[in-house]
This record gives sequence, structure tokens and C-alpha cells, in this order.
Amino acid sequence: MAKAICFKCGADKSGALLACRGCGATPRSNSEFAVSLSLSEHLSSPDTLARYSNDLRNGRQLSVPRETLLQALEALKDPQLLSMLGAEQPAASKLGKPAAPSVSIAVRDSAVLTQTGALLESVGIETLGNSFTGLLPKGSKLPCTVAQVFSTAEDGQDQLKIHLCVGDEAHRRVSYSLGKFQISGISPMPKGKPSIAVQFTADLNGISLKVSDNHATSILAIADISPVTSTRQSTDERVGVSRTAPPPIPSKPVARFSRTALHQSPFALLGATIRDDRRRIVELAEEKSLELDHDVCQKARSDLTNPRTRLNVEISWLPGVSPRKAMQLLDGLLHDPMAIRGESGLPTLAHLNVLAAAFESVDGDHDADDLAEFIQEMAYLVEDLSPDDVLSDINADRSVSGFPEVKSVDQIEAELNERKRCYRNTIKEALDRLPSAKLVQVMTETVDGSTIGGEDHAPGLIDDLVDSYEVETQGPLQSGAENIRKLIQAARHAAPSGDMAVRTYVDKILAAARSWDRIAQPIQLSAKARGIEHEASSSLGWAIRSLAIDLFNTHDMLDQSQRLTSLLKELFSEIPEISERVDQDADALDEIATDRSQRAERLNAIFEKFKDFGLTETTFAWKNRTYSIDSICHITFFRSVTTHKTNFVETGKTEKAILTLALDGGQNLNMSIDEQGMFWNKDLSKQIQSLAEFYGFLLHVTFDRRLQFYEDQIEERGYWVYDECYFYPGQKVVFRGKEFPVRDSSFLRSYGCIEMRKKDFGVLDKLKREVSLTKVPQFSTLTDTDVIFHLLKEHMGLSWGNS
Amino acid sequence: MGFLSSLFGGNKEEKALQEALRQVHRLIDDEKYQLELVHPAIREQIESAPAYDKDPKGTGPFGFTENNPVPVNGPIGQLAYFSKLERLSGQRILFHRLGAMDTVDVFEAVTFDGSEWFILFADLYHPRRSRLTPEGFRFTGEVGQFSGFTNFCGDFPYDFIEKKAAMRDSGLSMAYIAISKVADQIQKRAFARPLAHKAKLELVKSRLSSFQGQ
Repeated sequence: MAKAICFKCGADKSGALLACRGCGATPRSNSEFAVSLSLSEHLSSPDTLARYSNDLRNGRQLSVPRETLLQALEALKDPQLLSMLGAEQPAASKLGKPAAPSVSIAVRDSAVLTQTGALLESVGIETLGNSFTGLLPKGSKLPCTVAQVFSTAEDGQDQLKIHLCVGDEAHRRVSYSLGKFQISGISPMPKGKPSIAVQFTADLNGISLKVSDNHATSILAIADISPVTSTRQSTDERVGVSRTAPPPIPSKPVARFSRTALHQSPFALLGATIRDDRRRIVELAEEKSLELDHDVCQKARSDLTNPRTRLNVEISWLPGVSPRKAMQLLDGLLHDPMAIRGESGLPTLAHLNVLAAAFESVDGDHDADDLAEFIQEMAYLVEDLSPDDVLSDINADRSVSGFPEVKSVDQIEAELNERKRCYRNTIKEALDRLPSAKLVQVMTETVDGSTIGGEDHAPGLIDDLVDSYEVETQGPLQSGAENIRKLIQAARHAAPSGDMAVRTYVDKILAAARSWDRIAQPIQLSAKARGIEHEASSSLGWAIRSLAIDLFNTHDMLDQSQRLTSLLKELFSEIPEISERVDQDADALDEIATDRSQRAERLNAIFEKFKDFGLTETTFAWKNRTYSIDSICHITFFRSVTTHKTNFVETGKTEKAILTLALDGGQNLNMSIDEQGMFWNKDLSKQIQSLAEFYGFLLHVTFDRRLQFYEDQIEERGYWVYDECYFYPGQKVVFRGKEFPVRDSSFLRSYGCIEMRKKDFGVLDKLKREVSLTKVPQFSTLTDTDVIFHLLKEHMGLSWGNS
Repeated sequence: MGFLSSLFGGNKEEKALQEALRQVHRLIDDEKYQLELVHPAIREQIESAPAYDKDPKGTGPFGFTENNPVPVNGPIGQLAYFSKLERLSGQRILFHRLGAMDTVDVFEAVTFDGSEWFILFADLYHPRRSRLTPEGFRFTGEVGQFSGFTNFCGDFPYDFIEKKAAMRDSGLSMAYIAISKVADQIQKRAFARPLAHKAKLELVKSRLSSFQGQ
């Protein structure tokens, strides 16, 4: 059954469309079906499910992606599914009551009892005193069912054990075991209060148990816990029968680390040593049968005496270790498992088996650094395992026990490979007991330490662990990467809205990528050490880099681009190609940032200099009004100083400066500083100087725009017009109908104007000029002075020494 | 002496081969023989049940609901019936038994190419198998060699090869389809249950009164 989240209460449940055992809610409408399917492992990652659960539990609105719902709705078009949903809900649910939780299990190998269409023998349960209580009588016609209600014998008891047996009803005697079953998950209640119904069914397929809670409050599970089933066991005990099925023996809570795999070895179970001979092992098995399960003892005996299975048991045991030392090690494992790590002088295989057993004691509180070291210890020991040494140790033991020697090292190698898988599984199970964050930390430290930061090969055991880790983290990494990609997409969409809009998404990308990388780190390090590329990291790294480039190239967002590039440097240094490119990006962006910083400094200096004009990068202010620099079409500047004298004695000066700006829309702005003083007014002069400098600044920043005005005229008409003159590039200037060919004319520059004379300028022309019969052919140069001199030089070939 | 005779070393071997083939055909097609393989006590129960193509009281789409299961003749009859089904497109099906809802057995099936999945229902307590097919199916024109199991497959259908091998002891393995018919798809891991099917499986499993090893 897939893990799912209840759409009402957010509790975990099994099966997307089944009733919730927490609140009893069952999806009923099409939308509830779709949401329930979406809230299951079928359509959502474990992380997403955890988020949904959290949202529901905290009363927040659930936000399921549309695509997910669409997939669910598509599935709900299946007619058989719809039909099942219509007919599915049990009667209790239909009445709004929570359904009784039920689970079933089949009894292995029981089909032999039902092959004939009738039960071959009586089937029942073992009750207190090893007596047999029949439930399905011998000869019952199939299919047949009987239900029995059980309760608890102790307060708070949360599990029950049922020993299903074949037996002799008349003599209340157990003939042999069909299996032991543990029902767990019973709601804690006073003794006798729970009401657990067990339905025993026999049909052609065998026997099965179905367990349900009549109060519908438990989260039941049933598991077959007998190590060996269906092995006939003779018994001579005949005790009284109870027809009323007394409660099964309550199971006592057992400390998790009471026995290790080593303690469950046939050697340990029988108390046998690796040097005991076949006869001694048989004796021990008989002795132990009096206190332990007979089947278990016989299996242990068989495993130790059967040549096919003995080698496997020996390899899992402590070959090469004296029986006395072996007992000490086993005792030590129970009392202080981690102290066993200090053992020295043990054969490598025995050492590893002891360490693997100690690993079983690792729990969620274990120190992460120590655990990483422990894993590395084991991994390097595994590298040191020598099949020849193991062969030698085992044959040395066998020479004492009398079992035939192992001839081929190939057999040892095959068993050792299996053993290595066990070590990996033991470590993996220990890691699985850790909280997720610690698990990631341990894996990262383990791989980092064993590969020296991804520079060296790790032992094979660690590579195997990383491979398992990669498989198990694939889901979270995939959904995490999808989330980051969505954020990248969102940042792209927000980019036209400006830096503030993008910053929020970049913040989220930074956080999500760091979380993602924490999980991926061990895989990245291992991949680097193995000289391969972790595709998911690489793909995500390039996606983030692409955003960083777009933000800068398309939207000029240097800061956000730099933040993302720093992130990439921090997180993806294990991927050489990304690392190299990102270093280049970072250098380029740093250079741009430096340039911009210097430019900003220069601008600030200019802004400071022209603070009287309220200058910014795009505007200036005059008399409390702000104007755009880009609106300036033409600039005219006039400056004069008039000295006043009385009787040849200087009585004062009038200094005047007018900066006239022709703006878009025909508006003119006059910036005039004009005040008469008796004596030289230094402040006034400073103001005029400041205006002159501002004029110089404006000339500089508006030059291109103003030049374009005249260039456009030339492009459109073949000439430009300026102060009543028509300038034909390379040819002539026409003033009031009179042409001044460039070749045949002189252009005399004086303050604020240029006078034009033909080269054959004669006396008559001089007279006319003096008596002002005609306007002197000249044009002013006070407006757009810089542009005009530029045009005269570029298009007319006219230049003057000091222009 | 023909080619086969020389290949199998003479008339004696050829006869053995022909006998084996005859046996396969009886397993697949002969309803009486299929019933003979069932234990006498069960056979008696089955033979006393009505023989029909469809339960006259059945409701819902034939074969697709426990209220209208396909009547078949015992466990071998189940195998034979489902193995003869093919989609209208010609795709035959692999199947295994999920468990039972009371006396009705529930099967999961998938086409050989992995494109379609089904939940099918059959009632084996009948003297002969139905001559009808569930909607969308027809009986194959090929020899309907067995292509599924009447027990649960933990890794269905990827464990088909192992499960087939495990049938050797039962003597049925020779009646099964050649592994080559599905090996390619198994190797390519081409069988992915669609979402609707997964949901159906969960619903069905929650209602099974018996099942094995799930």
C-alpha cells in the first residue's frame, strides 16, 4: 500500500483512497478522490507529503499543483476504479463511522492441509500451558471461517501473539506449529478492554488470518514472527483444553539491543564453539530444545552440521578466535558494544563480524563524527579481508572440529561477497535509524573523510553505501530540484519587474539549493572521487548558472547574478566543469562590479560638485523644478564681464552668465546669473563659474543627442540649418540666398560667431559691411557650440587652431 | 526417419515428445482433464455446482467485479481461461492471483507489452469454464499456453521467469509460454502500473479476505 496523507486531518495512512484510521474520513466525491490521490506517494514525493501533512495539521490551506490534480482526475476516468469507489466503502463508513481497521496474513505452507477440500487436521491456537484450543475442526468443508475475539492481559499492552497450531482437540495437544503471529499496534487501554477480532479462514489456498479492531481505534499490523513454520513437532504433553480461548501470552517489551546477529548465530543459540564436533552439536541441540523452540534448535543443528550451510555460518561467526575469547566478545557486545572497537589482534573477518554486531547498537543519539569514523574503520577493514587468511582460519578450526576442510578459496570468496553485503546492510540499517539530518551529516563526513574531499578513491563498502544513499535520496533530490527549477522560472518571470521582485526568489533559490546540496554532498564527493559526474547536481548547477547569466545579460542585475554565482562556487565545487566556468563568471562579474563601483565614485564626485543643480544620473533641478537631462535639445551659453569706470577709475564690474537650454516640447529654460556689484563679488563669481562648469558637464553628457539632431537633417535633406544658414556638407553655406562655397570662401572666427567672406572680398564689400547696408554674413556659435564646430570640421573641413 | 526423429534420437524419443505435447494440450484445453487434476473432494463440490457462462444473478461488468466473476473449472481451469484471453488488439496477458474475496479469486493482469493493466475476478467452483470474455477481450487464436499463476507474485510480472521455473515440481511448467515471449519486456522493465491501476490495487487489497505473502 502506498503511503498517503488523510485529506481531512493530515494523518499518515495506507492507501490513497482508503479510510483514515485517525479521523475516519473517507474520500467520497470526485474532488476528494483527486485530492486523496494527489496526497499519496503515487503522485507526491515524501517531502511534499510531509509538507501537506503539516499544512493540514496546522489548518493551513492545502496547495496541490494543478498538474498533479490533473493526473489524478485523469486516473479517475477509469470505469473500473469508479465502480470500485462506488461500491468500496464498507457499511460502517457509509454510516459515517470509522471503518474497523483490519489486516490479513496468509499462513505459509498451509495449503497442504486444505488440498482435499476439507481440513485434514484440526487447526487452532496454543493457549497458556502449551495446550491446544481448536478453532477449525478436522474435516471442516472448505471454505470455512471462524472468528475469535481476543483481549489483553496487561494494562497498556499493545501487542498480542498468536501461536497457530495443528493439534489434537480430544487431548488438547499441540501436534505441530503452523506459525507464530504478532498483532501489533493495539491502542493502549486497561487490560481486557481492547477487542481484537481474529478471523481464521481455510480455503483451497490454505489458511489465513484476518485481524480487526472492534473499537476501530488501533492501527493494527500482523506479522509472522516464527523463524520456522510448518515443521512437525511431536509432543507427548497432554493438558486440559479451554473452549473459551483464553488470552494469548502477552509479549513483554524487549530492549532493542538485547541480541545481535552474532547472538543469533547457530553457534551462539546452541552454545556451541566453532571447534565442537558433529556429535557435540547434536547433543547441544537436544539440550537446548528443552528451553528454546525445538524447531529453532533443530535448524541451528542442521545449519552447523550440514556441509552446505556450515561455511556460511562459520563466515558469519568468529573464525580464528578461541571459544573463550568468542564468549567474552559476545558478552562485551551486550554490555558495552562500542568498547569492542578497541579490540585488537582479532583476525580481520572476526573483527569485522564483531564490529558489525556493535553497529546494531547504533541509535539516533550516536555522535555523527564518531559514526563516520566507525564506518570508515569497517570499510578499510573490509578492504583488508583476505580469502586466503579466512580459508586458513576456518580450516584450522575444522581440523579440530573434524569437519572436512574447505578445499577451494572460491567458496570462501563467494561467501565473503555475501558477507560484505551483510556489512553494508547492517550499516545502512543503522543509518536508517538516525534522524535524517544526522544521516546526511554522517554520510557526508564518511565520504569526505574517506575520499579526502573527493580527491581519492573510497573503499568499496563506502561506494556501495553511497550508491544505496543515492537511490534512497533520489526522490527528495528530484523533488527538491524540481522546486528549485520552479523558483528559477519564477525569478525569470519576475525579472522585468525589477531587482526587488527577483531578490525574493533568489533568496529562496539560495536556501533551497543549500538544503538540496546538503543531501547531495556525499554523492557529489563520491562522484568526484570516482571521476564521474553526478548528473542531477550538474543539471541543477547549469540551470542556476543560466539564471545568473540571464539576470545580468538581459536585466543588468549584477548583484543577484553575483549572489547566484557565489552560491554555485560554494555548492558545486565538486563538479569540475561547473566549477571552472563559474570561476570565470565570478571573475567577469567582479570586474564589472569594480568598474561600476569606480564609475559610481566618479559620478558621486560630479553629483557633489553640482549639488547646487540637484544633479542625479538622469536629472537636474533649477529653482525647485526638476528637468530630465535627456530632454535637452540645444544648449546656448553666454558669459560676459563689463567693467564700469568713472573718470578712468574702476568702480565695479557686472558679470553675467546665461545658460539657455532648449527642451523637448519647445520649452526654454534660462539659467541666468546676473547681478551688478560695486566691487568684485567673489561668491557671485563662484556661482557663475559653477554655472559655466555645469554648462561644460551638460555639453559632455548631451553631445551625442544634440549632434544626432543635425546629422538627421543631413540624412533627410542633404544639409543642416543653423542660425539662418544652410550648410551643405563639403560644398557651401547659403546665407539669405547668398552662397559661400567652401573652396572659395573664408570663414573668420570671432567671439561667438563666424563670419563668411568670399575669397575675392573687395573694397566694395568692405564698405557695404562697414555701413551696414546688408547684414554681415555670419552665424552665431553660442548655441550647441561644441556640436557646430564638430560638424564644421567633419562635414565642411573647417577648423581653427584653438577649437 | 524425419528431421525431428534424428534430432531426438529415434522413434522412441519422438513418441515421448509427442506424448508430452499431447499432455500439454490436455492441460490447456481439456476441461475434464483439468478437473481430474483437482482433489476428488473438491472435484465433487465443483461438479455439483451449476455449469454456466455467467452467473445469472451477477451484477456489474462481467469479469471486472466480484459481483460478476468469470465461472471457471478449478485452479487449472482458471489458468487455462485467463491464458486464452487476449485484447482485441491481439495482446495476450500475464496474470497472477492477488487473493480472494470470499470464494471469488482476484487476479491482476497486464498485457504482454505492458500497455494495459487489469483487475479480473473469477469463481473457480464451476464444472466448466465460461465461453464468454470480459469486455475488450477475446479468446486467442494461438495455443493458450499458460501465462500466469494462481498464486501471488511479489514482483509481478518481473518474477515471471522465476515463478515459471518454480512450477517444474507441479508438472505444469511445460504448459507455459516460452520465456522469450516476455523476456524482452521484462529485461526492459517495461511494466509500469498506471495510477488508476495502483489505486484499484489498493482498494482491492483492502477488501481481500485472504491473500498470500503480501
